[in-house]
Amino acid sequence: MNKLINALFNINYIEELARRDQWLNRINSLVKLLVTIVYIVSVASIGKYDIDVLLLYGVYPILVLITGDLPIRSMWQKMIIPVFFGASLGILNPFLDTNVIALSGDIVISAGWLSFLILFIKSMFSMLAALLLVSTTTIEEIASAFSQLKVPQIITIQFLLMFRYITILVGELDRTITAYSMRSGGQRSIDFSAWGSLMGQMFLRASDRSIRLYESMKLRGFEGQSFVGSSRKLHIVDGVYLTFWMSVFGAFIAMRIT
Amino acid sequence: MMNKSINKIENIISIEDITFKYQNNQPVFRGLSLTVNRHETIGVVGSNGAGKSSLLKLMVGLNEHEAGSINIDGVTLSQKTLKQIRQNVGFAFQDADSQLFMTTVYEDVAFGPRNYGLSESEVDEIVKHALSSVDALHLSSRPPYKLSGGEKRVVTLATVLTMRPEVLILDEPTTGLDPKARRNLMGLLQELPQTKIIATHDMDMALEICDRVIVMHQGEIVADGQPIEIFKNVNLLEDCHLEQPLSMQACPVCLAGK
Repeated sequence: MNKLINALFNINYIEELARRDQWLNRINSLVKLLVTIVYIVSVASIGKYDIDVLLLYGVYPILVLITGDLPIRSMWQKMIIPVFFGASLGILNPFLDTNVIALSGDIVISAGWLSFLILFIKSMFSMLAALLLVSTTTIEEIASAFSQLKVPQIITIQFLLMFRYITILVGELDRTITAYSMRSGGQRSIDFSAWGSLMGQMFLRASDRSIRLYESMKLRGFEGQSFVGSSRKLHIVDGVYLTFWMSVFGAFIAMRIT
Repeated sequence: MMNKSINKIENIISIEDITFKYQNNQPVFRGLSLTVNRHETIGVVGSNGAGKSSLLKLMVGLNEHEAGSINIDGVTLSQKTLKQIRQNVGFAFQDADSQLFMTTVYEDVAFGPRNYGLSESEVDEIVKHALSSVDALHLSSRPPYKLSGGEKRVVTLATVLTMRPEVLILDEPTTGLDPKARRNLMGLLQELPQTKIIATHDMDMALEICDRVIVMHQGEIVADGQPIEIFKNVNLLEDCHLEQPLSMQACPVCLAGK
């Protein structure tokens, strides 16, 4: 159980990746954020049967994963549950949409199954894009990009605090489950009757720690102001990166229109 | 003006007739008073639940007193003066993990100065100075969660020192440290010129580095004096569920003439 939790929620590992000195990490955070937003919006806007175009969008995560020297297996482990959760929204599609449609060539498929498959791929691409962003950009740099985009400060701070709270919550979850498994007499999973008290304890402890952390921030002058450092300056390579991906996404959109 | 100069030499903290209770509980303090002289190092000792941490939190407004007054360096503690007080009083929590929350040591130490609106060059200078003063400049780029217990303690101290406080309040600073890290921290504390108030169960540390020791029991200050005098009083220590420092137990004669 702990292995799964560690694989899923090891935020510290993501932060380590984000702090590496790779070319992709050095790209300006605002540029990466813009590329990610445009990518996710254009993936989300693809029609529910347009699988040909959707597959083309796979080029972005694949290229970034390879050129950014990111661990593919670890990325997949972090995505697996969120992707299935996202795709589960379309679980009834195969039963509700029983029309049959023809793909390119002579391939014929149920429209419901196709839309379900497309929803699965869309979830995967979108979550992968977000994961790639946080794996190549520190959370403070992302917050700094939010500020440059004139996102209201209160939202930026909520974003930063939520990220910190998730870290704390995951830490408490890990400790709680470790403590349980040490005294569980070799059970492979957590007994159903213990879930309520375990979850309650975990939230209470995470809340206590969050309060202490917030107190520590208050003691050091925090009064709701943004606590992000200065972002990297824009360089030519940032412009090239932005232009390249915007051209690629633009070409995909043009293909969809035609 | 004259009063101010006298104040500079003598009392830096003056607590008068404080009453405090946690919500829906019995009062923790009823009419507690305490004065602390400038540049004094005070050890606050007492059994668990004696009120040590509650007293320390009162001094920085993390706990709000119901009656009485707290005056720190000429400023009376109130909601209006909280920021001023907190800039002048550095507080290090018992659990260093509650104090370190940014992605790198540098960012964590820079958190306070940035909140006070300093420029990045000023922040950089202060951070480097604070880290150097605790011999932790080499930890700048490390993530806080990867530090050892001793390293976390000194970094916590650096985060507090960036505010250039006149008073340092430390809650159990040596808890969980190995002998070498404890010794290093004690040496460091002795070198710092600030007024220090240290809540601790480490009687040997209190004996060695404190000018004065306060014994707390059930929310009251039951003894206040020189460490050697306090620790010689075996009956007092027994009544308050405390013990003599190990160094005195091992060699009572050596310390009798201190």
